[in-house]
Amino acid sequence: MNIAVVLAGGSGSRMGMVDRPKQFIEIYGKPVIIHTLETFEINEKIDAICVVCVKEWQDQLAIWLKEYDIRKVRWITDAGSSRQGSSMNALKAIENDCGPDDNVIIHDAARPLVSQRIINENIEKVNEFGACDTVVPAHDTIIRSVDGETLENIPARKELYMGQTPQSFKYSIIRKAYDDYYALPEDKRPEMTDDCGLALHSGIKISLAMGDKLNMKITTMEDLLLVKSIVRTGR
Amino acid sequence: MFAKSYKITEPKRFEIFVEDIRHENVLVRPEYLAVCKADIRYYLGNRETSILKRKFPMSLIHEATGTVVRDKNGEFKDGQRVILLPCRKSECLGDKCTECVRDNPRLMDNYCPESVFCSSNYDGFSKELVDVESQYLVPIPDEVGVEAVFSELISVGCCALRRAGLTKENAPEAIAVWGDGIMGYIIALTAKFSLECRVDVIGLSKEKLDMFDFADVYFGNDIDLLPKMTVAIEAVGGNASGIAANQAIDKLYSGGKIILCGVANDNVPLNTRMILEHGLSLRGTTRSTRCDFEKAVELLKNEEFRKRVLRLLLSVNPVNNIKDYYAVFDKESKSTALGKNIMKISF
Repeated sequence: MNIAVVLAGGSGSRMGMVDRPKQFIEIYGKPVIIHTLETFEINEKIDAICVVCVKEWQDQLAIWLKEYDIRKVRWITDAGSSRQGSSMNALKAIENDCGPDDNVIIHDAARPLVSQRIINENIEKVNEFGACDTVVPAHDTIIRSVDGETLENIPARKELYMGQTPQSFKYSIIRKAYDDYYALPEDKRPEMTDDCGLALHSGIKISLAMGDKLNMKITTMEDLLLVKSIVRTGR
Repeated sequence: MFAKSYKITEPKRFEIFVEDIRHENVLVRPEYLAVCKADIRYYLGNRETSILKRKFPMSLIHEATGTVVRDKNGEFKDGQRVILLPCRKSECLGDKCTECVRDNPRLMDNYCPESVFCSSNYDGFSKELVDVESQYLVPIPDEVGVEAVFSELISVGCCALRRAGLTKENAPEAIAVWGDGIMGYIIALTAKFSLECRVDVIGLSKEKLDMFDFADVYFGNDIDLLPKMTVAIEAVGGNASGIAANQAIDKLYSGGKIILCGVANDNVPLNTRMILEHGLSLRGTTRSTRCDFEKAVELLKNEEFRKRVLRLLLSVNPVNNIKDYYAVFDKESKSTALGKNIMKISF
């Protein structure tokens, strides 16, 4: 079974909006999260979807799911206080319906331009390797600075990729990584920005699935402008 | 929902578009695509600039099969494989022409000046997703595989025979097909299996003619032994279509007919004196409509027919990005082989 976990727990603070998080902003009359869910909904390999959503938007989400005929969402669970907390809540929400070899495809709700190819490649890679991250090669030179004022070094670009989502795992693998993480005392838990970071910390080997520059995350107002200007009405 | 498409914006230039697809009918994911000579003419810019400017940007490809993702009306099942029909009926009320052709069984909607055709004056199927009315989809039987992508070509062959008024019941002893290219092959094969009569094929390439093992073959520069016939089909195309048509004029019995299928860019001279003398008739045919696709599917159910269609499959090329897409167009534009390099798309 392939279960998509769509993370919609963000606050959208970097967009400066006060009335709604970024994943609920409308693009051409439809909320970003619905655009994202539709892509998983129509993927024939995805069997079910779990949405991690801030509590105060869950009722509205349920209305949209009906309005836009999204049928694969089986779980809506509360967002955590961090990304790790949200992912863990999703893993707990699906645990009774999910076997150790089932695949969990974790995706940001704020990446509505994820393609069918990326989802399918994630599923292929996770079936082969047990864990995979979606990446695109870094085309810009990446600068490392520790103090934010001076250049520390320039890593070799050919070895660098930009991480995207989905990030996909066998349930047993990602669950163990999370259990190990939460078994650590709070002050000993390393700072992680995504699920692959946490899995890597657990010693899990992670394969790479090719992403797409268009699979951008809407984080700032500029990103929203970019996505809006990319999309045209189909015929 | 958002879906990617590739569109031609100028000769040899494809660009990525992301479109918001409205799910109103049947949502289909195109899977196998075949490049047609018409697509190559757009790709190479072999049309008048004013015409190209009017059409671009446009998604190319009108020979395609796909998988149903979801049908609003439940007529098609999720995952069902389908042929995507490129002809689109016009919404004309039938009041724009002196005589409406859409109800004429020999002409039908693809001769309606208000109709549109994918990859000609409407977007083709180079898309991650398309929303299509169910009348423009034909289910693919289980026994038919990737070769279903040749359905459009086969339907054009069926249309040519239909427009000539030829059926199994009234089939002549033999028909002659000029052309050893893919259109000639498909038309000859379609005629052989649907009319069950002898098929004579006239071509120039020994290598290609060797593939017509279901027909009697003749070299175009030596047709003395070619028996006379009552029906000739020209499927040569280009400026040589005139040479082929004139050979057919010489070989037809009085009262015979020529079906013209090949596209010539320039005007071609025809021996009108012999046409008059022998009371010959010429009929043009192009494209096809739904009933022709249904006939094509019936033919594809025949294993012997399918085996011979599969010979045209030169390669299946995974197309995961625009570079792969360019590569197939480049390969097809240079190919002189009898067959096609097919795309399996996953953008």
